[in-house]
Amino acid sequence: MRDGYVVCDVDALAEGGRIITRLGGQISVGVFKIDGQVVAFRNYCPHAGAPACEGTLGGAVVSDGGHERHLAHDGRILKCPWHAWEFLLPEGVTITRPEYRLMRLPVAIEDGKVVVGSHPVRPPRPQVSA
Amino acid sequence: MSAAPPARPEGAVSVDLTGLSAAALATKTLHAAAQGHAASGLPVIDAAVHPRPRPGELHRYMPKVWQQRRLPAGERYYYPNPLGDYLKDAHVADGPPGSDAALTARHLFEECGVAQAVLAPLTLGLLPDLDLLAVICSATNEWLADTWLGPHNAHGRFKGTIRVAPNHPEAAVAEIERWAGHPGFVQIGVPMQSMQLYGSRVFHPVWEAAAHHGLPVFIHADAETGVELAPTTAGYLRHFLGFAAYQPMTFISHLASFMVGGVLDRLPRLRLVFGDGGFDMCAPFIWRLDKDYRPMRGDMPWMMRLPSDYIAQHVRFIAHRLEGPEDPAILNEWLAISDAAETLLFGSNYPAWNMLHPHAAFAGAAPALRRRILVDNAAALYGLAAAPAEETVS
Ligand code: FES
Repeated sequence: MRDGYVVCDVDALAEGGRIITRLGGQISVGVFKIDGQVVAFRNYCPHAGAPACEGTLGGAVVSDGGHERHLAHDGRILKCPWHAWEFLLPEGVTITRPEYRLMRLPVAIEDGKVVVGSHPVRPPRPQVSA
Repeated sequence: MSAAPPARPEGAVSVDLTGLSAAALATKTLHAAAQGHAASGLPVIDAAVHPRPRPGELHRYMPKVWQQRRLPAGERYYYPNPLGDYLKDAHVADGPPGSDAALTARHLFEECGVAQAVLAPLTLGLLPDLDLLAVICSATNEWLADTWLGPHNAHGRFKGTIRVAPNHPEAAVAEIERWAGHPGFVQIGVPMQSMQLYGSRVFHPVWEAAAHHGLPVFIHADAETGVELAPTTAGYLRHFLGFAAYQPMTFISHLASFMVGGVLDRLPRLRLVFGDGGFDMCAPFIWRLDKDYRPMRGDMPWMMRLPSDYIAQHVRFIAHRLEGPEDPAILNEWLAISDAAETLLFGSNYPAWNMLHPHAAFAGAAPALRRRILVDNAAALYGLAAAPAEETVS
């Protein structure tokens, strides 16, 4: 990848793991491995600028529309440490309003290394069902 | 030893301890309510008119086994209104204010420029005997269909409300099923007062039936028999002024309950009409709910949208005379911030003393906005055609 930064060895990232680092010592990013896929986001919450990638990873409490509740997306919900907005990974969208999303960065695996670009990609808007 | 009290004379059974009667206190006239404003020229839809049966009339519609039952008087005896409760012109000799269909039609259609009126009879509020309340609701519906929606409605300008007792869900659902097909009824009606908030699961069958038939749920302060919770969460304000100003907070509490209870998510067709004010309290309260919805939504996972997202789809308020700024310079700004163009309906509350007269209602608002409030929003909600203003009662 042109203009990419090597972040780590691909083996250094376990399933469900993450690395927080700065590209070129400047741009704070979070790199996650979710469902075997490596994704990277700017470490910046669209709500009020918190380091969202440092939040807890867990599940979301959802309902099928009745009065029952259950846990969904376990291990794929990143909760912002400041006001607890819930981002669904690997897409990086909030589960309540998918148009609010983390800024996703391009990732390539090159020669066994995770390489992250600094120019955001716009993923297609996913259908989030809860 | 004191002397025995004098024997009660035969026949002297009722002593009026309340002082002046509401009729004697009433000084506000229909003319005064217009505040000098001219007719709007709009085919006004009045979404809150309160007809009442004449004495004894309701009993005729009750099953015989209930006909001997004495009914409570209602009328908020514990907060007497110092100005009486009704317009001076609405008092009639042979029944309570609002009991004369021809007089009501003349006042609204000829003197106030109203084109169509949604009738919402009240039903003595909550009663400890919920079977009795269900019987009263049922009799009220039959009476309305038989009179104001029957022979008194040759002009076709009256629409009706199916009264139900929400704390008796089986009876309420049966009543909705009984009348939903009647072309005169356009909504169901329940009291604002309740021992539980309306988002509670116990009420769900009632809202489900209303939504199924596409009937909005009209919630209005009802008769106030005293069988209800204190008007504030810290007890009783001392006087009528405080009571009347505060009372619509109950609507906001019901609204929050409908949201967090997931009722609006489960019933996308449900429409709520808060019939007696509260519009001015809604926006600030919704801002408060919105603020922390996202981090706390896991507590109520059935609520899938921001609180403010529900309003335009599900919620309407009937305007109240107490609301809004006096200063016309900021009226339009206030209406815009509060999304009045989507959510506010005109209702006069006739024959109440504090009637909002259509001539005076939002006279300072931008014309297009005024038309939405006085005509279009109600027409859309109830599926009514906006009739021409010139039409007069036949
Ligand atoms: S800054 Fe992330 S939720 Fe507020």
